[in-house]
Amino acid sequence: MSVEEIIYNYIVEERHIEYSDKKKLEQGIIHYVEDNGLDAMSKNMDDVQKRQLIEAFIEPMFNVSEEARVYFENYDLLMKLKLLSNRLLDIAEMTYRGKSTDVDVAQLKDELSYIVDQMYNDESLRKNVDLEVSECLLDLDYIMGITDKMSIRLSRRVKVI
Amino acid sequence: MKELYEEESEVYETKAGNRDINNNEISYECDFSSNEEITSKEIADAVHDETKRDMMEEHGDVMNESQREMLDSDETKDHLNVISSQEYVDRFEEVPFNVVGHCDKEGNIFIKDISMPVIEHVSVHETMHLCADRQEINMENGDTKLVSGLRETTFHEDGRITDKNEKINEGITEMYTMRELRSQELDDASESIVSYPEARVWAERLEKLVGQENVEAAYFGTDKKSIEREFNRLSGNDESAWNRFSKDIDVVENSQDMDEIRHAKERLFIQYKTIYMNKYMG
Repeated sequence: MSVEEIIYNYIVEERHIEYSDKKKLEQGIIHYVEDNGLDAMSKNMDDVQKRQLIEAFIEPMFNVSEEARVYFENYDLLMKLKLLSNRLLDIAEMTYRGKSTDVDVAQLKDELSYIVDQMYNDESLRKNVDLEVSECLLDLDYIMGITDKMSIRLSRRVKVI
Repeated sequence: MKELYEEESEVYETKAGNRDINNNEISYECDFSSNEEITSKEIADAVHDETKRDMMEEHGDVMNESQREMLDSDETKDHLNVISSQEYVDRFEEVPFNVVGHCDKEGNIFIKDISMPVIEHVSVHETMHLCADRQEINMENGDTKLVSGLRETTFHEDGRITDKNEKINEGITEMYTMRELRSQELDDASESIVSYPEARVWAERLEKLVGQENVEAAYFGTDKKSIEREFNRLSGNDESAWNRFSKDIDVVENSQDMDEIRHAKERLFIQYKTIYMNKYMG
């Protein structure tokens, strides 16, 4: 049994989570397995051990089942937002520390706009990313010098206590 | 600051509508229900107080005396500020219209009163940071180390700053936050907002691997060594296992490079597999 099958069965049969788009779910699982190296690293295990290991590994993601469905069905889009969001936070931190940042902020804003446009069509997904998008917007304005207010995550990163 | 809250006289739930982030415009469908007895700030305070009480009850035995005294004090409420959307916009007019909240230079957090789940979630999350072990240590070599839960940030004399356990600490904070929200039956707040998802999931895995008591002792108490020792022991007595784990969690949460994230995730799964097999499969 493949790792992809184990995860799919766990979601649909064990957890009884109803997917809204089967193709998107399958695609998300494939990319998730690939990104985490789950298949390659569990190749020499027998089916029982492999299933036990993989289910234990993904089980904590299902404390909130709606969150898990949204995560797998929109895996690629969420990864894109994550990368951009991290970039904005890093630039905002450099701005805070007075380091020069040679970035095209308008382009970053366009990229954020493009990703968010796709996400906000789906209410469940929107709820999952609202806070992160909000933090991105504040980081953008902080980088541009429009505000001296810090996003909560930037403050947490630079101030610690 | 206090007069800001006293003017609040309505509690409301909002549902975000269409947004255009280029123009910073947002439209909300709001269901207002007048409630003169309790304001959003008071709700945030109540959630804050209950969280402190619960954490003292559940983890007080590993906290140090000064931490317990601080948490007993009412002054901790000053940390969180919830103000109406209108007041937020008027007061912080330079902040984008669809921003949920921010932090000022003194570390005060201002949350816009647009959504109760956000207020409750942020209030519990920030309170959780407050409940974590907090220390400022002046080292003999002139460095200053700030400790918050598992996170250790060192400000070196030569100006360098080094950070350890930043993201796994956020993940553990969020793990305890989610549990507390559920314990307070704040389902919307726990289900509708996702914060640090990868790190939170890793925190849950960590707890299963090294034991709840070790995570608790490191986060709420001063014993930072037991968790590392147990993690390294289960990794086949690999003395650098914890540090690699912690660094890879930071990479997964912070990196802008997908290949770098993939490699970190692969290494994390290998570590997970090793520990899981040592612990559960003999």
